[in-house]
Amino acid sequence: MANPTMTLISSQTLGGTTASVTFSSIPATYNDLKLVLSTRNNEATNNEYIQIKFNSATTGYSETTLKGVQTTTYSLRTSSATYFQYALQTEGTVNTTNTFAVSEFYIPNYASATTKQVFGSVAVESNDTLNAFIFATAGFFNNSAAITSITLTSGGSASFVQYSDFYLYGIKNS
Amino acid sequence: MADVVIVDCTTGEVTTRPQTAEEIAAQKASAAQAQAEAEAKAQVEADAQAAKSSAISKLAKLGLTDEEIAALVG
Repeated sequence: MANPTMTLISSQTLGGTTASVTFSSIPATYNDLKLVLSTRNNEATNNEYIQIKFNSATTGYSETTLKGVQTTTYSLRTSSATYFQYALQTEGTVNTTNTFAVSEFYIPNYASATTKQVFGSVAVESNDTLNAFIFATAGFFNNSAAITSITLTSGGSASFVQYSDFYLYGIKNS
Repeated sequence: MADVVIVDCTTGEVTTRPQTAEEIAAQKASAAQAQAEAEAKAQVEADAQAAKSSAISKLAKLGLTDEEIAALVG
């Protein structure tokens, strides 16, 4: 009988201003990976992107995103980009002080020798009047190598601030 | 200068070091590219909105009511 489990592989709570976080040497012993983030950066921008790269690869990232900022909705599409740009977003200094964007990113079959589909979502409702947002992203990584590292870099020329959290979970089907 | 955090998920070892000049340059280049793409997209959206406003104005001059225009263009 299947007995799915979700195991925390690693977590990082930042002790200071940090430009990027890399999870390296990810073991291939799980079926899927899940990232959970609570982040904020030091730039005066709402919904600043978080750059996502697998294995430091610089090609093959495509994504389709539905985005809502306050009452306005958009759709976004990138193809064969150099990183995932829309799947994860972070708050900036224009958002309510000491609030953090909440994001999730799911990677099924990360260790397989096939291309990978991914799913990302992020939500912010920090009780201010201008800067609530929500993103949902379907992504595709056109690369057949097993994913062994994930690098998350703050967008713009900004950095993640202290107390931003990064959790990486491994999920097994049985 | 901001730090870079690297977590080895097999050993649990965490390395924290300053960003290298190369990493800073790469981040700035990505930011510039993203900014250019955002501005291009914003211009496309602004052009589309201007075209819509122009079309609504012309429809009104043809005698369509606000309800009829809304039925056509939303």
